[in-house]
Amino acid sequence: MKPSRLKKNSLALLSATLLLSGNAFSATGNEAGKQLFEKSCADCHSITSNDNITLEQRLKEKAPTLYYAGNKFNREWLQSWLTAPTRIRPGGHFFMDNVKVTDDGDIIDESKLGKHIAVNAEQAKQLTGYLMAQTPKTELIRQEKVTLGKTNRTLGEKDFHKFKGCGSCHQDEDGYGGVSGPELYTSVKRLQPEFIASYTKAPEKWDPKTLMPNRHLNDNSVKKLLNYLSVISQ
Amino acid sequence: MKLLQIIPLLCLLAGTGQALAANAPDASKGEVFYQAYCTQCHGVNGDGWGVNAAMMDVLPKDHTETKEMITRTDADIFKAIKEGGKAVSKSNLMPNWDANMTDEEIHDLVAYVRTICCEKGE
Repeated sequence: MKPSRLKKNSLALLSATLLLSGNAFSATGNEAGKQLFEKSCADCHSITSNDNITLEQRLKEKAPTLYYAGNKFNREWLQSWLTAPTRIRPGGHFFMDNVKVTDDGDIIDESKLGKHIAVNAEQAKQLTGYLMAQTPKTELIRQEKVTLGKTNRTLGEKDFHKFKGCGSCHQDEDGYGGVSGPELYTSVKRLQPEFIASYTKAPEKWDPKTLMPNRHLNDNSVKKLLNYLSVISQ
Repeated sequence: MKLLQIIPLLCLLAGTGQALAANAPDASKGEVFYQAYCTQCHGVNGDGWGVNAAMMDVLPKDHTETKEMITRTDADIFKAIKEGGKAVSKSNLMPNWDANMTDEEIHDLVAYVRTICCEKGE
């Protein structure tokens, strides 16, 4: 091979490599965010597929999976929260790790609840870029068409607690409701409405070993619930 | 001739017994399901005072109450877990766990509930 042709071929190869690297980069998001995630978050949060997780493994997790973070969170909320994180699950990630049995019943031992690390604004931007690129469940999101609407707050509350039983595990206002699940009065700020709808309908499609039951709600029931979550998130 | 007929029959019965033993509900497996799904309302000790109970409109069942629990059949408990409280004319707050466990796993959980309610001091 002539030197000039070799040079041309090498250049083509290099260009192809760079192009592929570029694709890989965009597929996994922000590289700085990835490095930061691996350094600061990966000890507690998993970002790999949970399709084959066992219940025992699920119960040993220290924090929620971020495998599908880009299908779950609202970008602005995530970026802001990372700079000043607050507790979202009153009982911790898995309530059983923090339970204290007392004569007055089981309670959450607040002293066992750790604090989430905070990052600066630039790091939050980098992490958010990386996390929002994690979208393996886009097909589930595409199946949902959500338009948030109005609802009667009193009827919504009754539906949430009495008819759907959500309030047994979730709070619909600060300090009111169950403590084993995440608070829901901030859900519409935190989460994409399509995610809430999809997860509510079939949580096992997102987490095969989820601790949330599938209550077989129809589209209209989910819509009513979402409108209530929207009202209480304002 | 008679002996030759009896031997295969005995082998068949022995084989069936083994198969039944292999599928017998396993309470030790059921304990993990109880911890994951039930303790949040029914309590770590199964007494109905889980971390969520204080805020609930209907108190969760006390699984340590032998006198009442012994009146429930395994089929009743299985149905309540799989299809929810409403399916057995109890509270709607007890959800259906059919998407979280297979029937076999629910049978293991029923066996574990029996150890809490009805095998104390045995």
